[in-house]
Amino acid sequence: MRWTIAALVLALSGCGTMPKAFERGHLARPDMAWDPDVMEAGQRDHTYVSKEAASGGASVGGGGCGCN
Amino acid sequence: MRLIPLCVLAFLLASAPALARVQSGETAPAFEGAVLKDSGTLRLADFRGKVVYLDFWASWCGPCRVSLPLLDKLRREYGASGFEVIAVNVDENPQDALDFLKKYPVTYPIVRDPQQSIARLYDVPAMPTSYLIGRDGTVVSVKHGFQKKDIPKLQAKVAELVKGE
Repeated sequence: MRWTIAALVLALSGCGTMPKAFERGHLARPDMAWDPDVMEAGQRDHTYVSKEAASGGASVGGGGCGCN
Repeated sequence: MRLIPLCVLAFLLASAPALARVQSGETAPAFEGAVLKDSGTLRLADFRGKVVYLDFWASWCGPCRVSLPLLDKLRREYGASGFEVIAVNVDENPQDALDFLKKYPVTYPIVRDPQQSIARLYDVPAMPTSYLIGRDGTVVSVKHGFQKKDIPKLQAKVAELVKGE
């Protein structure tokens, strides 16, 4: 039991380590971006926000006039 | 209860590489690596006696688009007085680096480090990171990131190091 916990701790200590700055080549690829096209995402967000009568993060109450 | 020291040890071991980060005042760790453009080998030790700007970069690193051409210019200015730029490219696919260099060509030597072993040796904390190394092989300063406005300060430092033998 004791050694199982020790082994687990040893194994888990390798988890949760951030990739080093120089290891982020794959993360920097455009297809890894949250929004592939920032401009389009902004426009969609604007439309969504006005149609949903909510503003800012699509979760806060707002006008719904499409002007915010 | 003997378990607690063991757990502490495990976490210390996991964080041990962070202790190896190269800082100013230390001797720059020796390395050798294959040159990106041909089959030659470059050894840092061969540049002892010169002021060296060791630059870690990658094709996917935004600020490197600014730094590479400016470093090349700096090298042209101070090359004759014993200044050299050595770049270490950490791209996993060296072809990415070669494509980048077609757009931003430089004349200084570039070492390829696709396994990122040199970057690990220095424990490079940011991209780009550069080490200004004096003639005696000691790291004079470490620089994280790069902006165009950093050049005058860097230029002054290089000029001073090149002069003071």
